[in-house]
Amino acid sequence: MTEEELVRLARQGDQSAFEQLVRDNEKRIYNLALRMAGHPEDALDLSQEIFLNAWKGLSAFKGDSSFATWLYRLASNACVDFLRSQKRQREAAGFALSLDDEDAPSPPVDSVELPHAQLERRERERALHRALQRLPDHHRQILVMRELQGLSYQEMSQALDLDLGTVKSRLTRARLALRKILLRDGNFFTVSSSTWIENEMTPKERK
Amino acid sequence: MERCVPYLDLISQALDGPLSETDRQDLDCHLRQCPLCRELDAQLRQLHDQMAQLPQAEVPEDFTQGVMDRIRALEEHPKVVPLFRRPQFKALLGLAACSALVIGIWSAQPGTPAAPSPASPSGSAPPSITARAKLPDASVPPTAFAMLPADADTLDQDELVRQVRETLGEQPGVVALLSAIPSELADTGRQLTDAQNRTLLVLDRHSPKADEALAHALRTFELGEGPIVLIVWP
Repeated sequence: MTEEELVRLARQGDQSAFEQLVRDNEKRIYNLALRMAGHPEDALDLSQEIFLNAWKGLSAFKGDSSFATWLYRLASNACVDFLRSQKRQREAAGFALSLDDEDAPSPPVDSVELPHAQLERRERERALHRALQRLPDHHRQILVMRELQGLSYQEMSQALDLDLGTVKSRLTRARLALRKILLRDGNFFTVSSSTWIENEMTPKERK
Repeated sequence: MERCVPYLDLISQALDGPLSETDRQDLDCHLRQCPLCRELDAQLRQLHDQMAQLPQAEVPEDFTQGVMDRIRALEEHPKVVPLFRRPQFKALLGLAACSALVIGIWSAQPGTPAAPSPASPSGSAPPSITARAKLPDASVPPTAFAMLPADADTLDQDELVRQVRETLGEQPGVVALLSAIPSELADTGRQLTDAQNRTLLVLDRHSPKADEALAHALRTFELGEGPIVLIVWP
């Protein structure tokens, strides 16, 4: 059954059709939630909530994008709301953002890779995970969508309700911001460290 | 460094797909002359490649089951959807707005027949709220209001909703409750008192308390604890 047929049936209340849509999209939505929320427990609740919102809001899906893109749009809004709520709670409780490397997804074990290479790779992945968590939410969101989920500019434009120009410039800013964090942390890039960092941009371009 | 700024977007976009011929030539020409941008380009490319290799987490085994359980629970015990969140409510809300306002203003004018009290045997609607209540100091005045009939506490929820929709029409806005206000809501929004010393709680529709307030109002009705007045605030 095609996605269109599943959506049509689900809109009529067919739960088994919707269940198939969930199965087809659970991995991408869960991983987005995980990268945004940072913790598996939060990601699980958040991503299930996203699908629940999708069920409740099916009548609003007009079919002008793929179902996955529409889900990303719901997910994007849900993640932003969740992060704002978390931030308010943390500020109220008076403790800083915590980062837990152990919550980064573990890579599959590669029995062919030499141990030191595996260690290096794992360390780089941890560094990337930490750096991603330190990005502003809107930068992390667009990087996860592009680099980890593989969304096109057009899909991101629809999911984030941004025009294409803004998508491109935000992505540039996000990449530069991530690079800046990793440069300051040190030892990430195999290319020698650069003195060209974002602070040297004019305020207009820094936006 | 400022001369490099226009090339940053090109360096980034080149990671996602081929550039136009013109942009490619421009960028290549700049990279030949600028070692810092060459370095930046290499670093962003390394980031791009490594992020693509980041492992995707496996979804917990019972994820879909969990979603479907929540949906089934929702379907078996549907939440009361706040009136002003229902699309039908928004669609119908404006129809009676002008006439309701006119009637309200008219009934407040001196010389118009006094409206019967809620206890009146005729059962007709009590006086308008805008005529008697102390209005809050809002930048935008209410544009519609409705009074439920004196026997409103005998109506079931569907009938209540139908009558409210008919009266309020399409006017979007907020909900004010006239009922026993739970203490945890008492300090939100604005409180008014009308001529019958009934308390109204006026809420902004974007208030996080609005849903809770309306749910309380409907529960109050279900328990038959008295009429509720809704004031729609733009």
